[in-house]
Amino acid sequence: MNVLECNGIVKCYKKYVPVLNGLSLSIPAGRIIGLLGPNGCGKSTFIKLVAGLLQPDSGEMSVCGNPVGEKSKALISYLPERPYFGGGMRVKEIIHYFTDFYGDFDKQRAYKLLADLQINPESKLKTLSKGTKEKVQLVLVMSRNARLYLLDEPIAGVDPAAREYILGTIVSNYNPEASIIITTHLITDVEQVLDDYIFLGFGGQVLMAGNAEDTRNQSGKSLDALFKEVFRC
Amino acid sequence: MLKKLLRYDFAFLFRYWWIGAFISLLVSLVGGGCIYVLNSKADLPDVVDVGAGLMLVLSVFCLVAFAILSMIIVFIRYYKNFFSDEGYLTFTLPVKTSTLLASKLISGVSAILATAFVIGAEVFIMLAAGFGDEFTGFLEELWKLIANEVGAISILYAVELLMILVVYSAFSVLFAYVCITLASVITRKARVITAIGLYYGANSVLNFGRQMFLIFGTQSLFSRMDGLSGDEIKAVFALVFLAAFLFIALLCGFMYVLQRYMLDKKLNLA
Repeated sequence: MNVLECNGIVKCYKKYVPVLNGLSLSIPAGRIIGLLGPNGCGKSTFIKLVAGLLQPDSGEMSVCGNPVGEKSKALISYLPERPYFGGGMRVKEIIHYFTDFYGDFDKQRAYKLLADLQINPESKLKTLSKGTKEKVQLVLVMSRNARLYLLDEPIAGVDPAAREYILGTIVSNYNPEASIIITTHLITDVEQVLDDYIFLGFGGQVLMAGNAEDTRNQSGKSLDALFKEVFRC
Repeated sequence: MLKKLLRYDFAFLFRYWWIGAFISLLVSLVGGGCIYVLNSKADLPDVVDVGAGLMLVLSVFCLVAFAILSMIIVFIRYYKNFFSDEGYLTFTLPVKTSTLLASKLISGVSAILATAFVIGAEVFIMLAAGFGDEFTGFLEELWKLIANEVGAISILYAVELLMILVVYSAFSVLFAYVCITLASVITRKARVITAIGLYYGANSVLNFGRQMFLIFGTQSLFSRMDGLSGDEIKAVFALVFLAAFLFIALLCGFMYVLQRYMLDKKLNLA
């Protein structure tokens, strides 16, 4: 069974201006997929639809056979592009919160990752830098044994030195029966970890998709170079 | 999941509420002392009288501020948890929207009822401390009046009024929640200002309707009560309270459904 099935997804923010116009995708298990496209092509909208933050105007979506809702949310680990915790909370309180609400949350793994990233669990979130907050969020998301990870710009706010560690963390910490969808503009950085890629054009059209390694071998170009070619202004 | 959500909501709402309740309790004692001074027959200098008067006004202001702040904390919790960046976490929890809303409603109503209870107790303390025997005498007279004139039906009245208090608290909370949600649905910018505008606008319309209803409804009710016996009048009042309860409960139901619809279908996070 595919981890994610989308069929004819249409989403308009304003009438007659669809951000996604009939997008259909199937994501099998055990893949790391790069969802790549220019600004405003609907990447984040698609991720929000899968996460259950938005409702499609039409079309169907299911995660491991469950329509988007309470059950699918228990299977998805979502990293939004912005920090979503109140500044007054301590890191260990956030870990407690995740332990409370997600049955698949691995507390030990979270503390280990925090230690690796030299983040003190006693720290209050408001005292942390933007990049460190993003690291904390990524630690929380990757400490779950979810079936689908949705990572919206996971390395945009962190320094280049930490990016490698974070990407390593993503690759080494996800459940092999799960899949990861990563949206980013930093293609060069993430390219090395991607199994598959999807180039999303305006209106949510799939312009190119396939296996990252095969595409590189056939075209003789990196995904980054290919992206620049496809989306040249 | 509801229990877990409630635990976090209560922890947030009551984190600083206790401090406010304690301060307002002290203030009510000061206010009682001021009433006592103003009420005393002793020939005190004008400065003391003016000072006591000012302190009394300040005490009452503090109680009102405590009530308003308690409500504001409830609404801040709702807004932040649902429509600020925190919403990205709240709405991706493996929880139904109805459970999220139930948690906010129960915690909000509890906070408002707790505040109403504390303020009621503080006003009682203020009057008891200020008027002493006069106040207890007044209460005894009131009790006798209720026991003799109203009789056994007063228990039914008390139950009905309590039900109205609870359902009206739920209405107040839901009304504000609907305004906040609606503001967040229709705009991404200036949501707080829009919510406040909607609240005041809708509240003004509601107040106008309520006053019209009270004026004409009361007139109509009293004109129809001519010629009724004492027991019949008591029964009419019991029915009026029940109708008021049912009407407010119906409004609550409508707002709950509207709220669910907006959160399920029109969620529009920043």
